[in-house]
Amino acid sequence: MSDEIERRLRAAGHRLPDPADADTRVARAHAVAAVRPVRRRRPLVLAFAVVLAVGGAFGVGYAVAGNGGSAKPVVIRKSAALNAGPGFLPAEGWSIGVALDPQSGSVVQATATNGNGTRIAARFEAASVHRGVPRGLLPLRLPDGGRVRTVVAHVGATVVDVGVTFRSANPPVAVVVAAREELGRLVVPACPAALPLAAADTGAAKAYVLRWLPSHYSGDASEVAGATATARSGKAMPRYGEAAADCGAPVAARSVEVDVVLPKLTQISASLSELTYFAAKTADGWTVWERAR
Amino acid sequence: METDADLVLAARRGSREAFGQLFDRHWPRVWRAAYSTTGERELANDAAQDAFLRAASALHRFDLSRPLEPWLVRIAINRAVDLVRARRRLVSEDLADERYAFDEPLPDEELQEALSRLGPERRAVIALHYWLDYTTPEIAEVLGVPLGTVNSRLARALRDLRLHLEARNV
Repeated sequence: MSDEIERRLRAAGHRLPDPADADTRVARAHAVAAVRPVRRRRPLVLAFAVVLAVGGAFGVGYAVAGNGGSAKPVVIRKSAALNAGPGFLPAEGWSIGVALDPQSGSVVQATATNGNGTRIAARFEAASVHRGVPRGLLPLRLPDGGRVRTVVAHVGATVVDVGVTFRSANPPVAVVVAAREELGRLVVPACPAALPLAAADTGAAKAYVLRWLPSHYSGDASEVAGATATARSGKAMPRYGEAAADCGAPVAARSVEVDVVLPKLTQISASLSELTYFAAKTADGWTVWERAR
Repeated sequence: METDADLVLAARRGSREAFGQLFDRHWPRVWRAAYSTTGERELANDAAQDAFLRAASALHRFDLSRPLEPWLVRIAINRAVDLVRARRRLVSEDLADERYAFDEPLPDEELQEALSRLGPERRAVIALHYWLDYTTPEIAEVLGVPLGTVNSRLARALRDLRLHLEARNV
């Protein structure tokens, strides 16, 4: 049977589709445009403590999720967030936490637990990864019935996936009401009211993100020292499609993609050392509306 | 014809033409590796493009004594697995019936059904071995896991496929 399966697998491999010409052209254009002359960097020897510090910071966030709730609220906020949110607003009786998912580097996970054994876990991810999820409005509605209840909606630039777990399959009404109210305290970043970009705005966005980064970076602040960035705007953005899927083409066309490199981490991991943000100019100034990776 | 190493050296100096040649040379297989893992064109496009974008910004780290394609495939598959994982629901109870279908059906429908039940890691191993003709040591290098892990993933994937096909008696 295994020989037969292997034969069928090999046969199937001959029928795999090819990439579409249009997709290939787009990818090629972006890839080629990303080539820059490389300056040789001096090798950096970074202690594992850097990685441990990052991991430890995430661990603290996750520890909150697993503590089963306590009467005294505990608020742990890693600045994985953008200019606002995501996460839960503090409320009496609820312990909340928010942390970056270390697997992805861009997915944010938030939890809220209380003394009744109710746990609400919310996962926030760029809408472009989950195309087709219907748009929703806050507050999200808690579904009826069951110990585990889930709701998924595209809100702002984000797909938010919420799971509410009760201690029992038939929780008392008061427990359900408390969960519903906590769900109402969920904060999801909004798409920006982006203004048209002028020629100099690409550079301005890059400068803004580099200024903004140290106070919003989720790892050790020393890792952002010496950060460099490149920026492109509108349809020239390598991730224009993602931006358009998240917040619509008009916002994407008025956004700047800022690709940041953290030189201190380049020797450790590409995924840790390369960050991508979407920024837009609004009436209140520049805003970073999404971390794309 | 210039070797990959020659083109990487030129690209390091900023030659977009050289990187374009590398793209043309490796894009189809890198894309297929991503598609085999995700089963979706859009995700495969994202993952494969990401591999080349990352490669473009990390050429200085590439070891010229090694082949380029496994490096690109590794980035693409890691990204593809991340994208597939990202589709998973937060609540694990909901994952039991999750399947990974292909955008474009394979002619062997029963095999496709069985493949759709494999997780992305096992599908990646199947794709690398049977569709891209990588040996198991090469797969271990591409995925950055021990050879034993590759062998066990491959064995378990084949076992799952066999069980599913036997259950359907086809």
